[in-house]
Amino acid sequence: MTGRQFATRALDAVLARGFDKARVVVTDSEHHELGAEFGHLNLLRTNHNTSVSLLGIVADKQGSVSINKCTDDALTTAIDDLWQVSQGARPDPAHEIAEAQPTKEFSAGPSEPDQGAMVTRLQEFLDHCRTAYPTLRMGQAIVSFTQRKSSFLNSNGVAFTSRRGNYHTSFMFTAKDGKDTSSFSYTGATLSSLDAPLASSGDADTLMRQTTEQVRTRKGAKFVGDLILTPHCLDDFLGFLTGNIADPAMIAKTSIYYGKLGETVAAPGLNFASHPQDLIGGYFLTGDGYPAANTKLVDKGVLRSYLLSLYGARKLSLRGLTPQGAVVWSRPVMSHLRK
Amino acid sequence: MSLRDHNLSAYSNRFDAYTELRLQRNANLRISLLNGDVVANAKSADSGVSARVFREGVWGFASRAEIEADAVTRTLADAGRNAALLARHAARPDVTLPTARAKHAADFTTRKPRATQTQMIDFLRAIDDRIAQRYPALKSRSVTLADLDMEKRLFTSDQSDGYSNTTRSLILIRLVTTNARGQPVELGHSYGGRGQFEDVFKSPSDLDAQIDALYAHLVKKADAVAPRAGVHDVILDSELAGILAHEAIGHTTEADLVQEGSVAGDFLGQMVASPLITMVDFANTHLGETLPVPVYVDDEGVESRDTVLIENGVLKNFMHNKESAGLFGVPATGNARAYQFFDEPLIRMRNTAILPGTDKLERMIASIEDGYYLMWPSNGQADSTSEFMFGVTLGYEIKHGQLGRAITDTTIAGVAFDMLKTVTMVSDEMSWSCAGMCGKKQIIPVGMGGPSIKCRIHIGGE
Repeated sequence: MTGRQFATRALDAVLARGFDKARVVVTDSEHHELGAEFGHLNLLRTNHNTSVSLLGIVADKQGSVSINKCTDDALTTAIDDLWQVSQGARPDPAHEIAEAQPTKEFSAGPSEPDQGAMVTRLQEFLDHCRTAYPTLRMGQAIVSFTQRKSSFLNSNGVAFTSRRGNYHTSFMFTAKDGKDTSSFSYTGATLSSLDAPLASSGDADTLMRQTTEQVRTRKGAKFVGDLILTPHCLDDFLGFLTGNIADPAMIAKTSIYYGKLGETVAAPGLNFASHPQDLIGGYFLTGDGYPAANTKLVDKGVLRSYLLSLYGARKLSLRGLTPQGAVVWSRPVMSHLRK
Repeated sequence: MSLRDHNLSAYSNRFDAYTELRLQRNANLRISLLNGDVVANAKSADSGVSARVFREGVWGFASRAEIEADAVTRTLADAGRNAALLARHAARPDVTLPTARAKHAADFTTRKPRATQTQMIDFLRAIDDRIAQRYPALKSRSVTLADLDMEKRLFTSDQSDGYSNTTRSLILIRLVTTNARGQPVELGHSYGGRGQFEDVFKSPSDLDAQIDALYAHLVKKADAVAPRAGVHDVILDSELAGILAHEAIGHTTEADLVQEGSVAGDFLGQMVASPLITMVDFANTHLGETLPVPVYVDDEGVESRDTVLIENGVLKNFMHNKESAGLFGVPATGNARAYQFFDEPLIRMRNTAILPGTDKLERMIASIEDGYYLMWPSNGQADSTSEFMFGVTLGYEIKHGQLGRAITDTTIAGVAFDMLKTVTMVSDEMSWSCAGMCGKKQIIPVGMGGPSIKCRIHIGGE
């Protein structure tokens, strides 16, 4: 049985249990990972997993249950759990599922790993580190391939299928010269192919070079003045913004950005956008089941959009202001945000 | 069917190299009330089988989401094939593993009837209603229940046989008010620990005193003053001292990070702290009490034993898995742990604590003329150099030996091995917590504990 067929069966079963509205997402994933520790290849890992996420709304009461089995017995138990979970909730008319949209299939990236290239590229990377950065200690170096196939259905007739395959790299390293040690550093990238050397992917070479230059540091005098924040550092600052324009802080109305749409919240030089469509590691659908759209969050310092879920938007009675960009349903993760 | 009932030794005829075979089921529950609305109401369960095979110095690993016999057999075959494939490219026959054999079963699930979701939501609602009625001036309140059960069944080719069902139930409460300038001021804390909901939380009113204390701290924080930047005499309360010990010292003494270049690798046998400091990564029990994250047999089948990291100020040991123990020529310490069924075991802390001393907290505060009492941490980070930076969400001035005004959110920073040398007093009480997750490729629950310590530390100021 395909994931789509199981999702259809699960949606029918949830509705048959008595739910007014339901949403089912079935995802099959495979993960192939080649790892090295301290400069030596030492782990080859393959994982196969499944995820079945059920959401049900009955009399405005919502619950969700997730399992990792695609069997009838597991589904029956999960739906019983879902009923019990939902019955325990309190009615809240803001609970809702996405409205009907045209059916669409999404696909991106390779569909199977090139294991030979994974070995060759990772060994080449380790050799490069030894040669180019003799004081560098590469703790963990990983190249992996992950493919996820998902079927997203809801009882309003939403039906999306998606497939995305990507390579990922992850490197963690320190430099040590005698008894002097640098800070830990780490980096990684999401790639659609292994055509290029891994050291040139993302910022790996830059950070490894900087780490070897930071084995001996000195304390500066107390400083007040202008700073340059690198993209790596800026992420932490932007986390404050994304946290405060998302559901919990907005619903509670404790966010300093609440009610500030269209107002200047940052310096005019700051532009901040979510680009799930463009990035290799992006995503096709929001959690609620809307096709993910590129969105300006802060445009020349002016707040242009919140990051609300469908529930959050309804809770704040902000629904209906799309598609002009006043409210978006997307919930991007940090790695997909662009400065 | 409990994972305990699976006979994994039946597959031992398929082991043709060192092999670990593990079944695992993780169950999560999360219910969250925000200003009375149920904004999260979810359960999840993930289970499966994994196998890890060691051949000619390299590892092959495989996992599947099923635990039936056919899936176990195919997973063993996949792991063996992965090990053989990698060995063809990167064999290191000089790398060997010590043999270890252990057997233990530990089950921390409740013997009481399980609460329904309705009962748990009603429990949280009772807490929330009381907060709303008692403290109407609050701008926002959230009450969240987060439960995690980790059930594992392990069998290895060394004939190690382990079963554990380790449980954790936490209630997190976050309150938000506004200060005189209309700015939000928030404070949150978690309550609970090892065990399932039914055993950890008896009655909503059991948390009344702690919530009242939380609110009292929040009111004081709304009138907080910014601390002065610079190095000050401080008391680090047990929670802050515990996370600092875990992050800034504990990680540097994990043998894989020592191999990567952690500064602790050069300090073995040396004084790295005040003689008042003894720090231990406990396996499962301390002073007859089962700790927050008890580990009896780790995920490599090694009997977990306490690891003394610092004894009277001297760095004594590192934490090991089998591979690092073989490399360092020491016994494995039972620190190899995996979070999910599809994760390989990594060197992880279990229950890490600075041991209590002989001082009374009141006398420690009284000994400071001008400094700070720092109580609760937020997130932070530490480094291979033992440099650290943590957020502090709750603290007070100390003026003339007395607690003064609350301070605003701030940071503390320093080099842990230097900072620990400034410790001059250690309190005689000790508390444990296990509210967070430790991250290192995988997340995993850990226990942290300790007394309050008096030291000198750099405060970030406003």
